[in-house]
Amino acid sequence: MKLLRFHLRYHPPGITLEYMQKGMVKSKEIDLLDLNANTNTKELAFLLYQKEPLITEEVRDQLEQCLEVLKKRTEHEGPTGKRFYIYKTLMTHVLPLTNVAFDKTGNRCLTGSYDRTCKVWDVESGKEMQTLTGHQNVVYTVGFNFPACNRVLTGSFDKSARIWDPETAECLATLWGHRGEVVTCQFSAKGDLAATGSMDHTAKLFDVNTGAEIHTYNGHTAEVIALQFDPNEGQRLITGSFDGTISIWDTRVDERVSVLRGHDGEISNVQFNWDSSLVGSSSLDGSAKLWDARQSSCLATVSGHTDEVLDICFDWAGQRMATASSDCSARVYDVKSDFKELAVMKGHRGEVSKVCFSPAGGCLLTASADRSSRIWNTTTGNCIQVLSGHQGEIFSCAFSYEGDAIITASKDNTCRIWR
Amino acid sequence: MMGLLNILKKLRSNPDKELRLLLLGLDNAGKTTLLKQLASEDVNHVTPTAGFNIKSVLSNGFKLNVWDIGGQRKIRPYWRNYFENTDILIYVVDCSDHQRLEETGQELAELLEDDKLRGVPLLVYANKQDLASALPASEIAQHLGLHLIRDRTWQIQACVATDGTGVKEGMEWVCKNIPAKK
Repeated sequence: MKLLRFHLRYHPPGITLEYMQKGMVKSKEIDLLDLNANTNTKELAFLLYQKEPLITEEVRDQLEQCLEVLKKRTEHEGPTGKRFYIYKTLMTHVLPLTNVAFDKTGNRCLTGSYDRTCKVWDVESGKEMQTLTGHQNVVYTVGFNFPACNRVLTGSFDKSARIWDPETAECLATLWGHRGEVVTCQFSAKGDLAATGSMDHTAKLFDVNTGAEIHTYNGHTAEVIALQFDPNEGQRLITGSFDGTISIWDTRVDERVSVLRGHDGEISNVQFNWDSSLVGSSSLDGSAKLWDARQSSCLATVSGHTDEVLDICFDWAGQRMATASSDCSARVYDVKSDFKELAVMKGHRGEVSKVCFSPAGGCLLTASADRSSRIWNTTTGNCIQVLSGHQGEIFSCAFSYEGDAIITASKDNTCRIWR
Repeated sequence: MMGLLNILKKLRSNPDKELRLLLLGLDNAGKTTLLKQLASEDVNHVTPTAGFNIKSVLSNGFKLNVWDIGGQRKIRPYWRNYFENTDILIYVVDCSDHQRLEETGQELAELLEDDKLRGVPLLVYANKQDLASALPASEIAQHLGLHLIRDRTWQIQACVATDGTGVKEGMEWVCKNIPAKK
């Protein structure tokens, strides 16, 4: 075995070792989820050298340099980091927007709309690259296949989902079978599968290449409004439902693997953390819960919010989670040790419906019914910036992978790009 | 609660005692003013709706989820987005807009032909009765051909959305004519 080169992975921090074994080029990923501004890179390099036979004495200096670059990356934003300014207002949708998504590079973004289209935008120029037309009703949910980003998946109130080529706007497959609106969908990590969740109480799994249905996941007794593949293997799928439960499914069988019960109200969102060891769920019962994904047991219930919890997300390194609530606040919790509340973000004058971390984890982005989005310091809870200008409530928001661009989508029929 | 999640909540097939009302009509008919009047909100600052508004109102023991959809010509083709699970259709007519009586009649006729709205009770608000040039409700009914409707119950109610005259009477009819749930 011989080490060929190091590759850096910024979010979450990690390195990939590319090496030669019996004439074959292979790679091995090492997560460095604890890396932060205080990390001693020399010590860390030594630790890795001791643990990992591929890392030899000769490359230790080089490794240390790589770690230094990664460390800078985690520092480059945050309280003293960049400020965002309105860069483009995208206004060609004729009706309110729904959900939005960036591609991996942050060069393109997607917007879904009540006008039954999904549009592909060039972020740099603000030009509309393609309009994906074909759905017969509201396009509610949109997404790229990561990391390739050469396919788009849309879910619509017309009860179907579609797969598109974003370059040509050609619809490659229509995923039929649901008897209710498709309100959540996602590609698997490998991009070969697509999952959909519907108001018809089921989730479905489809083959991306043929558009054929593989499984229907039955078990929920109310609408399935959130789902996610596990980010690593892509063999597990979690779904959140208005029936108040979360289900875990396996892509190889259609029986339910387990049910996470405990919430007293509708689930509003459900997420895996980076290494898929944890599941976070938010509920209209006013609480958020953390679950052990393997044991299917509840690890913690956080109930700091005084009203419905509308969204939940983990940071990229899976160390913290954030929640958004009708009580006009967002909160950040530690998920690695004691589930302590780390920060409370107060200032919005309307309910907070979406929350996401910046890729490096220094900032939290929130979207609110008060027509503003805000950027917060995740350590102090202080508001760093208010992104104002939308004429209607903001339905969704997202950070680009590089952390240098933000999109916000509003009921005012426009989408704004901030840089 | 607002936001996208609220839209999903309101999309659910309605439980008992909860109704989905769809408010349609040409632009400037007074739909949003009517919606605000129902919700007892200030009606002085209403701008054209380039999308939709949703409000929940309690009336006669029912929770009415009222969807007010913009009426401008370019967004009328999207009215169909909102038809699913509608319990009552409310159509608002500006009775002083003589020039567009035919247009509003055509739009209504198209709605009544749609499969998803089959059998859904219809309430027509003959709005803007405070204006001197307004036609009375009976003449509006004539123009719209309401007497020819055979496949659903209907009612026409004269009203002034800006001051609330007649609005309550219309809602009482709505609550009395709720279709039996499937």
